[in-house]
Order: sequence, then C-alpha cells, then structure tokens
Amino acid sequence: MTILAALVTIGCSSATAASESKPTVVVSTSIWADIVENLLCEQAHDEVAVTVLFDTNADPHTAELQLSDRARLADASLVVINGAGLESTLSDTIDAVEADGVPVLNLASTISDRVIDNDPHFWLDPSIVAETIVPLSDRLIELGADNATVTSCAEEYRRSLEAVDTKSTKQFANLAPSQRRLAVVHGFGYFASRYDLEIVATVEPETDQASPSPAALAATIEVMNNEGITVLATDAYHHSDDVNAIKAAVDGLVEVPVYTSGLGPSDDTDTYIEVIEQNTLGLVAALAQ
Amino acid sequence: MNPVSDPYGWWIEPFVEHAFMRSALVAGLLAVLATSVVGTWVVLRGMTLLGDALAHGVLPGLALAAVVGFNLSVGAALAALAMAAGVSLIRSSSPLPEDTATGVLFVGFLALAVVIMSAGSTAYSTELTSFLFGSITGVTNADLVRQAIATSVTVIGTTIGYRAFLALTFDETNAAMLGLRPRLTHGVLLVLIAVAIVSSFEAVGNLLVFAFLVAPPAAGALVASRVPTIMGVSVALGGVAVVLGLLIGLHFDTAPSATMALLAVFEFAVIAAFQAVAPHSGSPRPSLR
Repeated sequence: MTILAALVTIGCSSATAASESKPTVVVSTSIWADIVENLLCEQAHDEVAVTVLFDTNADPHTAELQLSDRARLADASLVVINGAGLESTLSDTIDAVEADGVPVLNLASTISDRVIDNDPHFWLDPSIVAETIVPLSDRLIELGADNATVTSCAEEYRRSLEAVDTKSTKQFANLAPSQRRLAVVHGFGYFASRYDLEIVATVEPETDQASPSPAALAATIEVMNNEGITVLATDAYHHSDDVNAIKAAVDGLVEVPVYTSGLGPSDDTDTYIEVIEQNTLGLVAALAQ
Repeated sequence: MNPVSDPYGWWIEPFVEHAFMRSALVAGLLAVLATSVVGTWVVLRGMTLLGDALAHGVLPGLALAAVVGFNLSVGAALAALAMAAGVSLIRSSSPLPEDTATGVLFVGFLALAVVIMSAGSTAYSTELTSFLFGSITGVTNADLVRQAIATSVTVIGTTIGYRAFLALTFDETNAAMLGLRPRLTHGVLLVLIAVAIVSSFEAVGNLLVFAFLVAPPAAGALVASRVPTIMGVSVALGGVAVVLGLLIGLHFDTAPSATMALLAVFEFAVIAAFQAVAPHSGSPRPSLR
C-alpha cells in the first residue's frame, strides 16, 4: 500500500517561518526543486523561497498529501508540477489549489512536443530540462526574483546541463552498439532514447491495485535470456519482487540502481546533474563488462 | 503551539485562515450526516456485513469506470446497486443465511475489481487511489454541492421512510401486515446506504467509509434508545471525530481521513468500555417507539 509522503522542505522550517512575506515556490519533486534552485542561484534565494512537496524517495505516482502540505500549496505564490500525469493522485488537489487562485506551472505543457506516449519522466533527458529553463525563469522573475541574476544563473545552468549531456553522450558512445542493450524499470525511456540505449525489456511497476501479471514477468525473463541481456537498471528507491524474480532467473545479471524520480541520498547524488552523472557512470560500467 | 497553551491557534485559526480546511470540514460533516442517518439502521438491523460489502463492493464499478473511462461515481453507484440487488436476490431465492450470500458476493466483487484492473492499462490506477483514500485536500465547491445533494437524499429518504424502516427493524412480520412492504423497504434502505457510501468517498475514502457507517451509530446505540437520539448522538460523535481528525492531521502530519476514522472508532471503544465497567441504567437495546 501507499506509504504516505512525509512533509519535506528543502529550506528548513524556521527559514520558511522567517520569510512569510517572501514569495514561495512549491515544487512537486526534489529533482525539479533542485533545478528551480539552480535558476535562482544563491543570490535570488533572498527574494524567492523554494520548497518541495514529495520526499526524495517518495513515488510521485502514489504519493499523498498531508493537510500541512495542502496549507503550503494554498500559501504558495507559484506551484510547479511536472505534469503529464506524474502527480495524478494529486489532480483533485492541484485543481482545487488552482481554483483558489494559486498559479500552477505545468512543465509538461511547456515542452509538450517532447512528451512521448504520455510518459511523464522527461526530466531524465537533460536536453528537455534545458527547454524548461526559459518558462521557469520567466515565472521566477514575475514573482520578484532579480531579472539579471536569474538570467545569468539560468544561462550558467543551461551550460551545465549541456556539459553533463555531452559527457553522458560521449560515455555511452564509447560502448559498442551491441553493449548498449539493457532491461530497465518503468520510467527510464527518455534517458535511454537520449543516449541511444536499446531497451529490450521494461519491468512495469507494482501498483497499489494489482501486481503485473506473471505472464508479463515470464515474458521479460524469456526476452532477457534469449537476447543475452545481463544489465537491468532498477529504481534505487523502490525494490520490487519482480526484480528479485528476474535476478533469480537470469544468469549473471548485473543490477544497476538508478535514480528515476527523486534526488539521491548521498553527496554525489543530491543534485539533478549529479543524478544524471551517477546514472551514466553506473550504467556505462555495467554495460562495458 | 498546543491545544491548551494556544487554543485559538490550535483549534480555530486553521479553519479561519485556510479555505481548504473549511471545505474539508464541510465535506467531513456532510459525510458524517449521511453515514449516521443510514448507518443507524445498518447497526440496529444487524446488517454491518452488508454495509461493509456495499462499501467495498463498489470497487469493480470504480475499476470498470476507470478502465472504460466514464464517471467513477456513476460506476461506484452502479456496482453498489448490483451488490444490493444480488444480495436481495440470493436472500429471497435461497435457503442460505443472508451473511453467507453477502460474504460470497463481497469477495466476488473484490476479485472482479482486481481482474478488471489487471486487464486494463496501467494508467487507470491513480484516480482510483484517490477514491480508496479520499482526497480531502482537493475538495472543490462543486464537490460540496454534489455531496450536499446526496446527503439531502439520505436525510429526506430516512425521514420519509422512517416508519417503514422502524417497523422493518423491530418487527418485520408486523411490518408486512401493516402494508409497509418489507422487501421494498429493505431495497430502499440499501439504495440509501449506497448513496451515503458513494457520496462520502471524497472525504474519507472507500477504505475507511465503513468506519463512519458503523462506529458512530454503534456508539449512539450504546447510549440512547430512541432512533432519532441515536442518529443525533452519532452525528455529534462523528462531527467531533471529523473536527479533531482534521486538526490532528494538520498539526501532526497524520493522514487526515484515517485519523478521523480512527477517532470515530476510538469514541465507540471509550463509550463501550465505560459502559462495561459502569453499572448502566436502562437497557442498551433500543426499544420500539
């Protein structure tokens, strides 16, 4: 069953209390909150506060809100959501927040031509994230963040995104095409298509309501064995019984935990750019074997 | 801040300051009113298993509505009616006791719901989650209007059918002689229960609506003997559970719907325990009036 998402703020609660007059941006996931913070740099943080709705290890597909989260949404100057169905358990709440007059920025709708098959996990492609920079910074400036600061921070961040994107592209390009084949968990499609990885099988998530059918699991195992796939990218936060079953049934399987929906817990995974770097490092190492 | 040192800040201010708290309060109180007036009959007639079956028997309707894509409330209502009709049919056409028929249908409906969901796409699941757990953080004015209409139906239905329900509850044989058509009365009662259950989803969610259908009326039946008094006590106890549940949920970050349900059960437990140790005057069994 769903674990209730706990309240999390990137800024500590005393900072929030001390800045009641300061416009606050509430961002649904920790990854987007990190991106928004980068657009503000350190300087513009005095003008605009950023808090995050979901815990880093929460599954945004099933996360639920507490009343205190709802209060933060009601008091926000801007709510930033990923959209494309990621926060669909909150759709009633988001609608109600919007009806109360709080502006909501749906990131998917700003880059809608790059959303494939209604898959909401587009943040795993840095080139798509780069396209959200302009709409995001425009809204931050509207809220009172200094125009010059945000513009230069945004430009700097765009370059960092390009850099990590280029670096990952190169690292994966060093692999032979036959090495770039793997099985992945749900949500990893954008990353794979950005770096020219071939997804041979996808392990669908277990939901609250029904586990994936044994037939689907058996098919995944069969495809992996037939195609000689030994690398499986798994969600670093959510372990499923299906992954255990695959590990038991596929010889020599290398499991690579990747961050798909939130920032990592350690110093080298607690920014979006580091998440892309670490996901790349882990996968390249496993695929090169 | 605590309820004693800062009574205004703890008890009152949340409702003054936040429109969503007022909406949640109204949604909760409407749910209490609807479930109390029908739940009283459920408790007095000893049909709690049927109430539970109706509450969870709506799931295949929800699943079908989510997979096929029509209004979830309509799906829920249809499934509840199908459950009610099925139970009535088995009751009138087989020698089995009613609880057997109810139990079999109950588990059958649950299994059907899971099968429908597993056959459908994976996109269905999130809206369903909000039905299971309620979405008290996302109550809109339109939701409140719908809920108010449904609650009015249950209150007016109970008022009009009062004599018939009373006769059915305490003297079914006599009811038939009086021309009160017990089977029709039973059917109407089932419909009212279904209306109360479906309309209370928003506030408390499908998993916990049963708590409100049973616990406050049961507590009422312990302390009062006249049916209108039982209903009144039930509404009062349920109302306290809603107000306290919302405040505890806000101040302590507990899941609001579950907190409300737990408080309702707790109130019942306290009253039952008190009655067990204290010598009570008068009969706890309601008498005909």
